[in-house]
Amino acid sequence: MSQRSSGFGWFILLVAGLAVLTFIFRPPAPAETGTDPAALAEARKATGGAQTLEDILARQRGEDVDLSFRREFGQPGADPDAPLALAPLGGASDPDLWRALRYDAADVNVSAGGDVAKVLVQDGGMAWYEFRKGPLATYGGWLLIGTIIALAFFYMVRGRIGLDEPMTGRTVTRFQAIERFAHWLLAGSFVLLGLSGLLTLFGRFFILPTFGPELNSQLLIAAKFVHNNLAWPFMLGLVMVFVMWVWHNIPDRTDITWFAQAGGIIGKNHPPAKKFNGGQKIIFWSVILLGASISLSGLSLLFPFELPLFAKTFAIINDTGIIQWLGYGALPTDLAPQEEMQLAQAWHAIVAFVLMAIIIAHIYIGSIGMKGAFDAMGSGEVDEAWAHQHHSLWLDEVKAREARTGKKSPDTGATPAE
Amino acid sequence: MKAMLSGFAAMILLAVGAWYGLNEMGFSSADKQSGANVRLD
Repeated sequence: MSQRSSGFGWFILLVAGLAVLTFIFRPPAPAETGTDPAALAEARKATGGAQTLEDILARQRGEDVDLSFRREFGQPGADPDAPLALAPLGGASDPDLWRALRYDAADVNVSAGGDVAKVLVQDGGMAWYEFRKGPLATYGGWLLIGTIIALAFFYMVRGRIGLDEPMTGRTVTRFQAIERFAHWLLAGSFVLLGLSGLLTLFGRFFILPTFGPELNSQLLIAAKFVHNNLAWPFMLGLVMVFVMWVWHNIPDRTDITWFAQAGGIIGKNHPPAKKFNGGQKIIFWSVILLGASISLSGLSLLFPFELPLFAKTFAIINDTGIIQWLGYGALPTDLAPQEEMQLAQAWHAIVAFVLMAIIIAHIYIGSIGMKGAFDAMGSGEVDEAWAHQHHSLWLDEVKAREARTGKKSPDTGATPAE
Repeated sequence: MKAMLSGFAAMILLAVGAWYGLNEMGFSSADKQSGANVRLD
């Protein structure tokens, strides 16, 4: 039987090609202009260890200055009880106190608010803000735009994937009602969560300057309501989909064939597949793993300061020694409550961008990209010709089961050919 | 299509239920992050 490729392999090649081009044409690394740390340390001798103008200028030039000296509080050897000899507080000088507050090292007592209120200066907030409006918004935005452009290009080159054989008019039930219910519960909430999340991130850059603060504010209030409350149907849908489909998504040898033929690019036949082919398994595990990670960090954000995740995670990663083995320093494990929230937000957004890009491709292939694909999740019924082309092993299983039990799938059309 | 519409309807019901339920249970930001000694409360 003459069959055309599904085109998925071409799509993978296209994405890989774009990734290579992105790597080749990446912006050049900035030239090394760092000031010698030893020279900076030597200059500090003239100020008794305090930072110098050179330190400040180096930081303003964007150089990476080692500021650990500023966290060395007190003067070793100084008598703290020497009244007025050195400063109003003796050996423990006022600048020490201010620097301790500055670096969240002071022994602060508060009557209410707990550990969160003890943090008076939290400069991690600035780094988080810079990251959020800089790399996160830039790379995240381009990832989504790039995915849409790649899909549009793919559509122009490949067109809609059709059927090699004419429709038979006989249908088989691809997904039961409860499966479709869970899929749309998950899909509907994910789309709205994605849009409200994008609005929260990009509203300040695009909506506010164009339409003014009033509209942006109203949209953000709505986005916050949607984002906070649709988290629950998303998590329920994720659990339902996992329970119903995990068995069908365990990798097996048919996936080797599927990937060896790159979903149909190598050779002229469609690789045989069970209920889910190799590409769909990638989608499934992406949704489950990334969705679970987004849910965890989302819960941490939904209940602020109640579910800190990162200090413990970093401690476990440090214990594995992998980070150190790769030549990096240990990850910080002494995090302020605010830092936990900042890291949770950053991780939440990074993983969400990756999952959004994957889901955009999933939506494409499930709608305009492939003829007959939407029926599987729309009515749940697919034509046997479609099932044979894309999931031949699964169709054989369904037919064998029908022959064994003498029952046909619900809503099946005419008698099976066999 | 009924399954799809049911999924969307359940999504809305769960969201509204979560919003109402969590607020009733005292999980709003005002309940958790504020108190009698905070002037905005």
